[in-house]
Amino acid sequence: MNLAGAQLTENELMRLTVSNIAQATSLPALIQEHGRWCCQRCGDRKPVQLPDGRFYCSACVSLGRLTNRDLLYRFEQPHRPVGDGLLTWHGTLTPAQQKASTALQTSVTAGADHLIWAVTGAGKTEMLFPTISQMVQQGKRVAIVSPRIDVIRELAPRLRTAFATTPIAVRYGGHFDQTDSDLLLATVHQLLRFHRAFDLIVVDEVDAFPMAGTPMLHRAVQGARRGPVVYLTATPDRPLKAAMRKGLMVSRLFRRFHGHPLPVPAIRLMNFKKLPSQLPPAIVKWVRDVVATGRSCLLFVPKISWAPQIAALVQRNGLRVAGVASTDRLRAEKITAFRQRQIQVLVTTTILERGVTVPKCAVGVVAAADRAFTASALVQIAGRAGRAADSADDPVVFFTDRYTLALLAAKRQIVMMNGR
Amino acid sequence: MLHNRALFVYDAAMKQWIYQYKGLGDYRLHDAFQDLIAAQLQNARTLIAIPSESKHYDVRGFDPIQGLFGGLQLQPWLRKSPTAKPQAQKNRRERLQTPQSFTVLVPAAKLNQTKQITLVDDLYTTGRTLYHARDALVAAGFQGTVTAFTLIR
Repeated sequence: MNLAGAQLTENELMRLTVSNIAQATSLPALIQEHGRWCCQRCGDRKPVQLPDGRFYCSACVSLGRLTNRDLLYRFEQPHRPVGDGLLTWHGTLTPAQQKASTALQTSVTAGADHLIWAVTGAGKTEMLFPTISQMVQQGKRVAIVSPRIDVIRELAPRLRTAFATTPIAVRYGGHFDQTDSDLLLATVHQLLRFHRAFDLIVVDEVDAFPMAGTPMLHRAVQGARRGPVVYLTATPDRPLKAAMRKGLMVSRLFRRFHGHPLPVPAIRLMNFKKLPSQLPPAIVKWVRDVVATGRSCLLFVPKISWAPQIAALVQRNGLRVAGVASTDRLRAEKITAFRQRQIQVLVTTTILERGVTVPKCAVGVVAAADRAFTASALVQIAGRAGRAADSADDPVVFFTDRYTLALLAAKRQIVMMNGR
Repeated sequence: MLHNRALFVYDAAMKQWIYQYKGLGDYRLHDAFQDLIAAQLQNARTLIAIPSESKHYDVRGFDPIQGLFGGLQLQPWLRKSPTAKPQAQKNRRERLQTPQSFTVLVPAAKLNQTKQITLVDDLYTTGRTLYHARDALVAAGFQGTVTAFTLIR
């Protein structure tokens, strides 16, 4: 396994059975700077003391605990290029996509960071292909990362088709792919295992949980880069908008690749007193109606515990239903079954607000006034609908018992983007 | 039979919690259940923590049971001698066949100053560990009753 640019713990090295430990430089995992411990893997400065006197970094503990008596191994030997980077994708970009793609390539060549602000379904991934291809052909290393595991799982087959002759390593929690490659597809967490390794990092859905509000993950990107970083999102957050004002290059795309406008959500007011033990008949009827039109249906609920309950309620109507949440071990299997239309209705939490793309899919949000549904979450959720050109007007309905700012802001944002 | 009370069942969430606390060694989690546990054990007379092996302490840097029940007064009356394999890595049959590894560190006279001992541990699976601890106390001459309290079963 090629470990160039890797930054690993002793335990990780033992599991990999690599022979070139001698080529690594070791450094203490935590060092003291001005009397404060600082984690050398993630840069966190608030380590926790153990009863035996050691300190450990709690910010990146999920990747294996590092204490001030552990070592971190960095591999800096020059890497051998792997893969030809030939683009085996034969689609064409729309003029708008082409313009953004060219602007991106210019920024990356100049070594500048870039933001692609594109509505859901604009075809962000395809716009990246020329730049990625160019970098890998030049023998450079590229990482495509996202805070969401489902985004990675969705991207993996698309990327493998687009770069059929280039090895791609796919890594996320519990899935450590040891392929030698210059193209890494991984969750942002995985970047903590690299140090100044990538000539280009693409961060997809940069404003998504848990990246928003976790500075450690932003430091992970900074620690693993040695070239420009490209950010992709449909809903830039405040830090990104601040960066735009400070001169971050931006490409804006407010049209979907098929040219149709985004489906505008309808807001339907109703009484929710009996949720989640009973589902209002109007919602049940809506679900049955959209399934009858040959569409799949994503039904979003605010709480993890509601997903199986509401799935069971919908199932009574003779539909093929499944419920998923972040805690669900069969999540990937259920999503695959939904994509293949073996499941007609998928009841889910905001975990699937991004990255899941199913053609001909209606979207409903139950209890849309709940705090779990922020404005950007609602925009992303609404963006699951109308992804295919032949069904661009899939219905999107927010079922709610009251109006909230987030609901109105989400609707306004969608109408605004359609108007541009 | 050993009477055991537990606060939680061993579901996916508790499995994840145990993994992060003991497996990854995230000591921050040690006080997560402190208030709940204190409320449950406020009437217990004598609490004895199930000790862990010293080599585990060296790796983790903390004793998970001492951390979990840290707000309470625990008697250090038991010691655990090294075993070949931790309970967590065994299947049910192997767990049940585990030999006795506890020794009692105080004389019978001291033990019998109390009538009731509550053993405290994090997880009750087959109960092997807790039964061994009780047997060791009885073998050392303890004549009162032994009950157990675990966070999870």
